[in-house]
Amino acid sequence: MINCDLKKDVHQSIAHLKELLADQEDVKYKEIQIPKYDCSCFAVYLQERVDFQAFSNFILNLVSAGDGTKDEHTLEELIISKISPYSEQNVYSYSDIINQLFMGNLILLVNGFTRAYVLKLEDKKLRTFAEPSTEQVIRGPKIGFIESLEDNIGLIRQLSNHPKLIVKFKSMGTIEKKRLAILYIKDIAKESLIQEVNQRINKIQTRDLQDSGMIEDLIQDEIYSVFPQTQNTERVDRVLAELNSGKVVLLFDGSPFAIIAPTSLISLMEAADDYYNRWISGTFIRFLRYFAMFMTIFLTATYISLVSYNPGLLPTELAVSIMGTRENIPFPPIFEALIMEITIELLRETGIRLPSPIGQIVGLVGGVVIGQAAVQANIVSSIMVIIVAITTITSFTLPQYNSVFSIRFLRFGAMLFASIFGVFGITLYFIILTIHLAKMKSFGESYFDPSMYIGKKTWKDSLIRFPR
Amino acid sequence: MMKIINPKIVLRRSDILNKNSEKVKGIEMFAMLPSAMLGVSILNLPMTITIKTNSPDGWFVVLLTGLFFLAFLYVLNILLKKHNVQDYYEYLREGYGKWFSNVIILAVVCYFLFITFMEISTLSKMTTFYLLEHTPKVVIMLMFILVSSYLLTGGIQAIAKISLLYLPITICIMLMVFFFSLKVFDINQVKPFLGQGILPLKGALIPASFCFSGLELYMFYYGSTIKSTNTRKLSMLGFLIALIIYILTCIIVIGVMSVPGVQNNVFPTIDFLNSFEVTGIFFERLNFFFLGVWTLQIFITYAMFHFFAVKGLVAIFRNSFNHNVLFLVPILFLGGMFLTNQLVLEKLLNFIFYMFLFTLLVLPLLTFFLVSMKRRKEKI
Repeated sequence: MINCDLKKDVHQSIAHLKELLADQEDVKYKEIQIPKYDCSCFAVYLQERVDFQAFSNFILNLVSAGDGTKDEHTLEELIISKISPYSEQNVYSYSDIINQLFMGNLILLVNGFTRAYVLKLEDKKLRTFAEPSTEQVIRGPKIGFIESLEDNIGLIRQLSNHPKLIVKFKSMGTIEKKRLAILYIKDIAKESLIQEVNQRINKIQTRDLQDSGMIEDLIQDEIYSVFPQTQNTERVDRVLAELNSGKVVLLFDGSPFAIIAPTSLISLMEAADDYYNRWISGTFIRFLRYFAMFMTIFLTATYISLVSYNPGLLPTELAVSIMGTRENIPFPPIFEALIMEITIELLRETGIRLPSPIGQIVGLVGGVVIGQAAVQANIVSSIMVIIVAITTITSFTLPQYNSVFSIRFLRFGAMLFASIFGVFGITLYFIILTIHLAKMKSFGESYFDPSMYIGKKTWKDSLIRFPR
Repeated sequence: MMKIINPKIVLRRSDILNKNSEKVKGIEMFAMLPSAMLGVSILNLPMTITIKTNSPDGWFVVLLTGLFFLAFLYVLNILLKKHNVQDYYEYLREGYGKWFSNVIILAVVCYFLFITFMEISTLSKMTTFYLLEHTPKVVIMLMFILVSSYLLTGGIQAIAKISLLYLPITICIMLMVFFFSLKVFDINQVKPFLGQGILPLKGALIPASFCFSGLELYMFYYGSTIKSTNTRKLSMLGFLIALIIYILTCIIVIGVMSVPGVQNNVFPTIDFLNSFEVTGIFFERLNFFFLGVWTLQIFITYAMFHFFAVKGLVAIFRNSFNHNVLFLVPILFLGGMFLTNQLVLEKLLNFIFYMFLFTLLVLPLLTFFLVSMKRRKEKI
């Protein structure tokens, strides 16, 4: 009976609606009388989703309707004029009423009408705009996205008045519907890219989506790659910059993270405030980031390969001192490295999960006590601790958090190759990594393209940031 | 019903394929040229060349042959441009007809495979000699073949990107090595210049020209470059890079190790790194960098020959690219094993050398002649 139309008698309709929603205790039905027309209306709403202040104002306005005026309006005209600031649409069936009700809207049923009015009197429960916590900058806009799609779009519209900035909505999910916004600047973003993004989004068939991260997972090219193939950001300025460089941005209802597609290794190595500081220091920092990425993946592996296969390649004194620290260690270097690296990974994970005061204590306990004690107990060598500490620091210099995870994961592969094939293994691992990067595509664009670093137009903003 | 494929239709199909397949940028092509040449030959070039000349003038022979090939590259560019070659294998087909072109392509593929065998067997020798004493050569070769097969599935664009990435690294490390070696470099070892006259140098022509093997691949990827690029200038610049590296290597290695020192060494270019120490950084010897980088360089050389061998098989059998990649894995493996035997390698070396000369010098000229005859006939 859910699909049938409304009755003319409002009491009958309400009775039917109550029957349909018998289990829902937070649905409220409020009867309103309009004295002049002797007409009874019903407001149906979810108790905690309606802005009560606006609702009571609206009722007062409606009840006093037509009191002081001389000209006669029909009831319909009157109601339309009173609800116009809030009006969304009209619905005719119970199923539509229920859908709109659970979207947080207020439904107004009027006696004698076979339609119900959907009013937007929603009370949004939101946090205020705050500084983005994942991508902090020293200089630059300090406002980040929040969990509301409308507010995020509003923020973008406010900061960019580009007339060709297009916002398109898509509804995701089958039963629980959530909205996804696709943003791009017409004529700057390639038509083929927009089509590709649309196609991939249309293919998504999932029941529930909680965060844009889940969409990211569903639209990427290579499932079996550790590298992030879309970029996510909380920063409005970053979104605007990427829109202006022809990329497509996806915003999802309930997620403060925007997805940027396509992405490349170059943009993963960029921080938002590279452009806000002086170009020389910005370039220097970029160089350091590439160096840090390289160190993160290969430093531990190099140590392992040199110690276990070719200590002769080191300077004699260094080799002697390293061998000295390893004298009482009962494990092979790979095992020693794995102990420390996995400990650090676990510490990092606990640091995120635990509430912040305890997290700091864990860091202290892990770093100082375990590091120092493990060396004294001859489980790991002191050089190993230094190397693991360096790789940990270098890995966190990468500006994007999701790439930090991938790069940190890649270390283990390098360590494995180094322990089996030594220096040759590291080279082989480097070859495999570069092949993988060279083959990868993100939404039809190459993910990694060395010619970008020396290309005629692109070199100014890749490895170095040259002033424009 | 005649079942002969009309060459015109074949050509048209290849045109369509080329439009859809990925193109190589000009700068990538520029990097591919030296990448294809700088393979294993740099490791033993000073030795092979000095054994023949018995004097420190090997670099002069390299310079002369290099200039000859540079001039030839100029001619090659003109020939390829004039006939607007898209896919060299299809071009061969146009020149020689269906059956005879298959024979020629098979010969070219065999030559490519011999080069790949040489590359991997030398690489496995080098690795077991300097880095992994106890690891069997078999494992090293197998790893290399598998990784290269992985690269090949990415097509020519992946190869181009990789070579562009590795070339600057190689050049930087080479220059660093040369810079540090200057303090033990003795100019008197390279003197006297042409002390025995020019005639005794002619024995070194074979190793000196053989180090430019890889140049012939240019014909095969010429068609894949983006149309607007100035291929002639870029290709000649790329060739010059390889030439300069070869000449510098010959001069510096001989200058550091002396002529008899070089003659008695299998890999003089690696061993000369042991003759000096670098102080003040984490590495006392530069072998670590050099071996790592040269593994990259051998890999890319090897992968390019591997790629065009597969392409050739595809041109003959007209089947899937990936099947041919798989099919070549055991062949490469056995061939590499076979050539680790030094005696077999030496016996085959002359044969491979003549194959190289045929592919690089004879084949393009002959094909050009035949195709222009045929095209002229068609016009009439």
